[in-house]
Amino acid sequence: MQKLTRILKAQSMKMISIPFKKYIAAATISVGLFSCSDMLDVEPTLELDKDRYYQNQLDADVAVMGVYGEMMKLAEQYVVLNEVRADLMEPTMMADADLVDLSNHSVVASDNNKYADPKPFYRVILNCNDVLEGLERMRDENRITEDQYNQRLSDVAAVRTWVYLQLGIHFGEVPYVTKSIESIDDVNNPSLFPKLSLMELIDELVEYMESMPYLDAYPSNIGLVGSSAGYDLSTYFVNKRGLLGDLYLWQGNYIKAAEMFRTIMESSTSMGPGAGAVYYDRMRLSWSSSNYFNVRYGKENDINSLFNDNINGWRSIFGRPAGERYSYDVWVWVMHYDSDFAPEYPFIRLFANEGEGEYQLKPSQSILDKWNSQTQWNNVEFDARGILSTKNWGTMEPEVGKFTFNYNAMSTPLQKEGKWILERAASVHLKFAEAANMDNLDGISQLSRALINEGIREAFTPDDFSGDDVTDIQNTLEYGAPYDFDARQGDFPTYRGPWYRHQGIRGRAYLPPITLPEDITGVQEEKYWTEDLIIQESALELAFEGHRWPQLLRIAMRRDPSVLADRVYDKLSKSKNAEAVGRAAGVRSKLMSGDWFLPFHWEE
Amino acid sequence: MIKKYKNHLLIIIFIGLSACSDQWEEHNNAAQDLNNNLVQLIRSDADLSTFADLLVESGLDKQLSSGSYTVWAPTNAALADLPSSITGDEEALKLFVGNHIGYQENLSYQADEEPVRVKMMNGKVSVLRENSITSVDESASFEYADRLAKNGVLYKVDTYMVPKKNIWEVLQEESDNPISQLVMNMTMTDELTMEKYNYFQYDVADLSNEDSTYTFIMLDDAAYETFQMEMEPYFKDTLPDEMSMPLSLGLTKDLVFTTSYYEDVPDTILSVDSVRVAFHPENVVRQINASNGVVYMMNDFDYKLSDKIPAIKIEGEYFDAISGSSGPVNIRARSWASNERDLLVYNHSTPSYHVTYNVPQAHSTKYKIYWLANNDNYWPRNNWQSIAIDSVSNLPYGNKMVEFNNLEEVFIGEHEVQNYGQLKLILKAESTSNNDWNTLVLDYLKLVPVFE
Repeated sequence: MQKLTRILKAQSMKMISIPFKKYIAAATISVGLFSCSDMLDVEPTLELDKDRYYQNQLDADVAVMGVYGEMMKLAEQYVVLNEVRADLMEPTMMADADLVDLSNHSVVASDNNKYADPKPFYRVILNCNDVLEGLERMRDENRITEDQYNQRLSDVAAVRTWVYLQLGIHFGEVPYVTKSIESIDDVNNPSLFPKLSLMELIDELVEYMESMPYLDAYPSNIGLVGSSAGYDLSTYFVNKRGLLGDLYLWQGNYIKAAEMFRTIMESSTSMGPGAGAVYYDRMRLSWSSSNYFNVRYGKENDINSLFNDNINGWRSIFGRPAGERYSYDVWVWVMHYDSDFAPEYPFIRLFANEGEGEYQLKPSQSILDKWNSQTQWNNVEFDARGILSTKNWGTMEPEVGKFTFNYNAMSTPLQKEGKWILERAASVHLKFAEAANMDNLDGISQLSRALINEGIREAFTPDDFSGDDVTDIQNTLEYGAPYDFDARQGDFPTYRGPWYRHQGIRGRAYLPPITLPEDITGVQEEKYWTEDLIIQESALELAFEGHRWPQLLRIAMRRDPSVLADRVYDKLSKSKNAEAVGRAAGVRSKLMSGDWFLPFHWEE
Repeated sequence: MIKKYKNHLLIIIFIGLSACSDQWEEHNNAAQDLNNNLVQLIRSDADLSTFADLLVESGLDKQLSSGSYTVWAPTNAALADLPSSITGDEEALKLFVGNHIGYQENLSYQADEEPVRVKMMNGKVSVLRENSITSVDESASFEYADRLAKNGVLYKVDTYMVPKKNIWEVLQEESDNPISQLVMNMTMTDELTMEKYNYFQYDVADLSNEDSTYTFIMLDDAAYETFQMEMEPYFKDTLPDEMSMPLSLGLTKDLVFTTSYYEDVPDTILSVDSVRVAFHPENVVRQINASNGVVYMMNDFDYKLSDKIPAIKIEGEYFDAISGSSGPVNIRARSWASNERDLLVYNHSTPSYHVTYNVPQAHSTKYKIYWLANNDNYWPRNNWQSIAIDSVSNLPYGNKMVEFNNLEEVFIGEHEVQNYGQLKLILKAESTSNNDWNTLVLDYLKLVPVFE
């Protein structure tokens, strides 16, 4: 859509340059002479009529890109709602009142909080609905083939489903609108569109996504691959199986959720071992990627030698340029923002404390404490991901860094460029671990912990193992799909299982494993303990990326509200802002009572 | 219902009407004034004719016709006794008139909660309160206030205010005073631009800055001599006849305080360099109020010697030189360490590997040397290391063992620094290439002066 409006704008500029005055007299006379009504009733050439828009496959592709362009505008709301309401991010002294209200859980409808506004979400949804109708018409008129229709239908449907899931997570009860409507305010008409509760909505969304005919990425022979404005498109579109995985996880359908996440984790398997490093590295958090994505030191003991830049080590997950080859090992769904085209990248303003930044949000004391409570293999008494996720670590004014590593306030303060990483390998691994941990298979929690800790090979090698034959160890094949991982590495006989390089999330971060305490023996107890481990590791690994509130809410809803309430309480009570501290206890009891959602306030 | 409140309503309406008429009157007056610029408005008040003439004489009337200013114009009666030292001197007159004109529009009600500092046209700062304007120690009350002109605000005030000199000018004027001479002699020449500048102004405080507020202590001859005698031993240098820059700084830096205590000076004040100074009012010989603060001439200076000659802490991670490859040098992150970092040099295979720390701020006095060096079990063996002074072969204290998990400071020995700033501390490993024995570890070194 962006492209389209740009073209349209360019044309109207040309129109203006036509020497009007010269012809205006003649035109007036001629109008006077032949003022028959038909003549004046010309179709506008510069405004596309909705009915005349969908002509061919190119139009279909432009419409899909338009949906994504609209969706990119949700980045700020997405990150703010999912992080500020949870426990890892808090407002600074510079924050505007809307952010403070979100963090303090004191949003009321009459405040017109700009972040608690469902309208921008519905703009994307209505855009999707229009495109879905247009696509259908094109197929009916045989302007595109059934295959072309299916690919685009499934993609746009997935975007709409993703937006609805976000709406449900934050507003609880929302109107489910699936058809093209003229006025956006009709959304809020309960007689037209009754509201669905979060769980009803999720059932609806699962059913809808399951009906989609095409769940793969776009095939390589159409206009929606390659790159756009210099940015690679292969990670630009929503991963439909990842989305389905999320939906199943919310729904409580854990095997299916794991299946879906597993397909992403196995996305290099079709290439076979012959493909070389890619086969072992893509989406597997492997040690061969260690040169690129591990927490690394030039010198083991020298803190100043920590790799802390955009192209080396763990930080490069966020700093790496678009389309760079190793980025495919970790990125699942990423959107790129460029100062040359709209929408503007919102995160410089929110997070940076230099240049164009307003430093409205910062890491909470909760997350700083979490990082500081870890000890790395070299006895450094904090998690290096703390330094690498932030700027000005260890000072009075720490910044959220993950979004601003590509921003240079000194040389190019106006170039606000960056990424919105919605899904990456580690977030998929963590969600897989969450799903697996909920399964009933005997000892399956050990697999979840293996993904968190040091990898499957380490975890499934018995302590007393000696010898060469690894045939029966270093794998979880007996669990069957989707929990069957082969991480065997042996030379007599030779084994190089697809997962033999897997090193786990903590392994990649140079942290020792956290092992199950011996006094935990009951199955349920073990599951809760493992789930807490997953929640903690998600904070350390995925802080600020927008995963926090959904994860805490999901687990709070199925297990205990305290999962969410205690963590938010921890953030508020540790805040340096007296108002937040004062609200901490009240917010805790509010969240304990199940009062989790924002008011659905529709400002007409 | 309405009947019940009829009287109330009538009263409210009546009040409303009467209030209305007043406001209209003001409004009409204001409208007339608003057609005039400040100069015209001043002219229109016959009682301000002297000030209007002074405006023309000083040439500031042109500037005042446009832009945005606030004028506090003294009445003719107030200006009747203006001394000829002001009226007869062009510069002085300009400064004087400028002392009654502030930049921007300043209305008295803006100062009803707290005073507003107003930047005046002569560079000085005055303080506006709801009912008065104050230039340092002279205040004028308003005969009328807040009259709006086209380009600003006019007040009529009952007295004039003579602009004060700033502290730097006072200091220059008091050229007989030893402190004045000392500060004025701290002139340096920039080696690149060949421009001269005063090092005191650069390093301690720019006392000519009108926007800051200072208290400055000057000493009379006797007090200065005592103070200098006390300080000299700590600033020994190799040029006995000249006053060295460190000594000049040492003598002057703690005479400056960043608050202007015109009255009620606290009994202990903290200098710009955080040295505690005791203030005894009975020792004040003279008080000079300046535009950006106050100068006290005193016959005694009472300071805390342990602040003046402080202990020095040198973090292990901030070394100045290493004797070999940087490969084996590690800055470790440790929560127990000072600054949360320490230094570990190991596996260097170099006999007598050493790390040098320059101590440019060391005074010429006797120091006790301590280190905090902790083997936190990370290195499995005891290691021995030593401190050399100035040269790596000068090892007055011998080898000392670094103990396991010792977070206490360890006393190394005493050293008398001969000349100010001439001290190098060298952390030296054992003279063996055996890596089991030549590790170096250091959190920090500490030098505590010994006062006898």
